[in-house]
Amino acid sequence: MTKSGRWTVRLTDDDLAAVEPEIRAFLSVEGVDGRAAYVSHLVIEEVVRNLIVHTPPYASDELVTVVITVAADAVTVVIEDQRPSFDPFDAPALDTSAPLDDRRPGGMGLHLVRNLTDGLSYEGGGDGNRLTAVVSR
Amino acid sequence: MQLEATPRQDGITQVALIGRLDINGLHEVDIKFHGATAARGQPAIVDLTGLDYIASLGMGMLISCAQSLKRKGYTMVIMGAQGDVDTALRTAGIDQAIPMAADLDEALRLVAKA
Repeated sequence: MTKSGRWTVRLTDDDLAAVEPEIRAFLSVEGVDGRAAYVSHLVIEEVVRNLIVHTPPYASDELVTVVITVAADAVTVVIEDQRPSFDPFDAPALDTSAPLDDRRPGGMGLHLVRNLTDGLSYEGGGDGNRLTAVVSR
Repeated sequence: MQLEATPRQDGITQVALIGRLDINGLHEVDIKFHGATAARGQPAIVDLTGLDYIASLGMGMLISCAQSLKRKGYTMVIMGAQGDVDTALRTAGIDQAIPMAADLDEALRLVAKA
C-alpha cells in the first residue's frame, strides 16, 4: 500500500522554509526514517532551492509541485515546475577533489542529488520540468 | 538549530552545531556561526556530533567560514560527523577541502599540524 503527499510551493526561500517542516512531518508519520528520510528531504531542498536561485524575482510567484509517494521499499519524490527546461544531468560535474581555495558556491546540491539517490530521471520540454527521484528504504 | 561554544584556554575556537542545518536551521545560525568562527580569527574546531542533517546550504556555510579563516592564516577542522551527515559531507568532497576528524583528540592534532 502506498501513501502520497502533495505540496505546492512558490519559488521563494520563505515558502520553501515554511513547507519543509510539513514534509518532514509527513515522512515521519508514514514511517520513513534514517537514510530514506534524509535523502528525500535533501532532494526536495536542493532541487527547489536550485529553482529559486535561478528564478528571477519577477517570476517568484510561479509554483513548483512536490509529490512524495511512500511505498514499502522506496520513497519516490516528483518535482514539477514550469520554468525553462533545465536537465540536471547536463549540469557540470562537481570537482570533489578541489582544494578549499577553489571551492565556489553552486554545483554541490545537484551533485548530492545525483549521488545519494537510488534512481533519478528527468523529463523536460514545452510543459516544464519533471524530476523523479527514487530513494530506497 | 543550536550553536554551542565551548570555552577553551588554548586559542582555539570550539563550536558545536546541534540539530538540523536545513534552510530553517541555516537562517537560525548562519550569522552566529560566522561570528563564532571566521570573525574571531583563531583556529576553529566545528563539532558536528549532534548534527542530524546538512545539505549544500550548510556545507556552503562551512566552506565560506573555512576560506575566511584560511585567508587569515588559520585552519578549520570538522569533528564528529555521524552517519548520513558524514556520508553527505564526503559525497560532496568536503573532506578534501576541510580536514575532518573523528574526535576531539584527532581534531586538535589536525589543528596543530596545520
